[in-house]
Amino acid sequence: MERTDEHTKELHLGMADEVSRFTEAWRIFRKNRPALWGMIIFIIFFIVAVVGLVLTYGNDPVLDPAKVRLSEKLLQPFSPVNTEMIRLEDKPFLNMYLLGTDDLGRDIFARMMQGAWVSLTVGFVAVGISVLIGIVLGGLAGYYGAVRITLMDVLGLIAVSVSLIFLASGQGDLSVRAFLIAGVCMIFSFAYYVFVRGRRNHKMLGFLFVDTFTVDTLIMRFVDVMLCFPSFFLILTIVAVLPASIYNIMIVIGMTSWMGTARFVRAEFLSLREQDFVSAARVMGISDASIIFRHMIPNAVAPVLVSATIGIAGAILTEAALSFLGFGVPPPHATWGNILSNGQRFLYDAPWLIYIPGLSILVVVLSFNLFGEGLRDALNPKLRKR
Amino acid sequence: MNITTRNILEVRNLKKYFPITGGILSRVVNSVKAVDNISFHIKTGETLGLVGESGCGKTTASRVILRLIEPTSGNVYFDGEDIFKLRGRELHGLRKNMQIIFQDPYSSLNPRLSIGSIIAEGIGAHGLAKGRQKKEIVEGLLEKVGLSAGYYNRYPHEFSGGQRQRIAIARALSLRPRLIICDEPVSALDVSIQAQILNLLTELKKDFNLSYLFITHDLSVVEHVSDRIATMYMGEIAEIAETGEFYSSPLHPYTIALLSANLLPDPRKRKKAVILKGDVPSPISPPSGCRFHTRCPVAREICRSEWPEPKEISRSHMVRCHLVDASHPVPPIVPA
Repeated sequence: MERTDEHTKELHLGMADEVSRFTEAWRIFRKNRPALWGMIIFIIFFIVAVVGLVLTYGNDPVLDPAKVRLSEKLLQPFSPVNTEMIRLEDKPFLNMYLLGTDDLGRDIFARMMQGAWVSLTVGFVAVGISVLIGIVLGGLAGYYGAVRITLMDVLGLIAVSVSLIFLASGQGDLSVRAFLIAGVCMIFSFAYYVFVRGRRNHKMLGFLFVDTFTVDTLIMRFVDVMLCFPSFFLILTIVAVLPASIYNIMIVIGMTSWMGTARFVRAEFLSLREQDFVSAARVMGISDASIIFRHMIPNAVAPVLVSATIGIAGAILTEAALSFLGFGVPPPHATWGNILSNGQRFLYDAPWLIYIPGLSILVVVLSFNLFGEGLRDALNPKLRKR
Repeated sequence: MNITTRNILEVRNLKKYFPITGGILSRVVNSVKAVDNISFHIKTGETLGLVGESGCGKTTASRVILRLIEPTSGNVYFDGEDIFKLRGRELHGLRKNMQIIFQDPYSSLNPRLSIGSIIAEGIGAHGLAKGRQKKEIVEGLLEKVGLSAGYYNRYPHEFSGGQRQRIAIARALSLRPRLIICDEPVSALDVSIQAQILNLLTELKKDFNLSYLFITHDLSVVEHVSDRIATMYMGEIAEIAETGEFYSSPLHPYTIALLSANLLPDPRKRKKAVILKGDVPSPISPPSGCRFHTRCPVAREICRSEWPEPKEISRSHMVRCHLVDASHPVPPIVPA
């Protein structure tokens, strides 16, 4: 193998510097001051939220956000504890109200710590849900977009929607019936795709299997419909119907904010589909699932990551706004939004009650946005030095 | 030349029309006739060069043969088997036998996967080898294409264009195919690297008993590698001939024009080029009669009205031109 060795030596000269994509992205990101600060604040917020959860969790937490001390109400930040009035076990951490107390004498510091965890989980879970829905629907539209669905599929979809509408209006009986019809449609449709479609010169099985519109049309028009609703009012409406709980808030925010991700993913998939490495994989007989998960999604996540980071900020803001309006997480649990909401009644007597949560929301949301934008610049190949 | 009678690939009356839809109901209003009724064959162990200008349908033809896109009509037989009839597992089996090397080595390798996993992917998908054995095969292939086995864990962005093309070749070889479609494999490379890659392809052809369909627009490259050459113009095959005959006595005016545009390294031998007038007409509504008549320097009345049937000059020479007489083949005199 003398020839090969010679070749290798010669070829090695042309070897590019070993710079990974991550190092490259980090180099650009580091130069972006606001983004760097955004990331630092994001990390601090993350730590605070986790510590906050640990300190405020359980029956006898170190920081008790729900402890009412009526004698100590509306105290300023850094107020010392009035040891004559309260029992020893009710004393707050450091024997001081770091961020003051509210109208019921509850420790704002403890409440803020508890609220941080709520904001963090709402942000991440809601965005997690929206990214998941966005990737699945956007991916379907991008990869299988050209497939035309049959009239049978359309009937099935209508039956499913009708079923959901009945379910929402409390008519379970009709809902089950509609769902059964949908099931029958799906079975027929499945049989059609497996046994009939794709065979050359197949005969049409009557008008029920006439091709209607494409998967792309179906999904992207649905995206357009979802975008038509003013999302905050849509969320308010849904939250008003559903029982108030932190999980419902997460799910609802997630379900109403996936459209941007879906559009991103679809666009990425459309361009990746035409890339030669995807064609090469298809020529090698790699399965669709493997092409999507190994070749397409890893190359499509960068813009999704960016929109997710900015989406977390949006979700935190939405949750705070809902809590402020009283539709959010139910009362005994503290969130930044409901601290703010409570505080507004004492705007002149206790301004810290609104400044503290208000500024916290501002800083966290701003830092997420800056972080997200920095990430977008760093991951954008056009800004890379070639 | 080693001629075996068996055809590894036979293309018969292959058509691919891309529909153009319009209106609210996306009705098909027209179509782009990318590949229009082409027929050719490749014998086992042979290299067929396919030349033509951009947009003439070379690449579309290759994608249809590989079943990346579905044909409008026609048949392709691989080793006597109609590949458009294959589905599921049978199609999966065919995939192993036909591979492709793309033009752009920068988009043909997934930037997120290591070289090793890029090459090993097909081997895994076809269950040819596992674990350690698979890695050994991949390393063997890397060395075969002139790279070091130590590049296994490197990523595509660390390589130059020529090296990437070698990786793409190793990937194509990983399934031990019998036919490789080379879609302009050297067009994106420097001339010095082109020679290396072409020599590598020639070497591998011997070692792996390959047949090539070599698509290019570079006539000097195709002369170097091909046994026979076909010219394509607007989705049709204008002429097919053995390489020697193709260069010494081309018959179709388009081939003559193409060859005259090719620069020779010897300045004294340079002839005056036949400059074709105008642009390639729209493939949506191709010209009546002979597709080439709008630009042909020797077009006559018959070329405008009647579509030329392919004429067989000899067993290995086909031309589609009214002006060539099959019994007495003389190339039409093309004014320079």
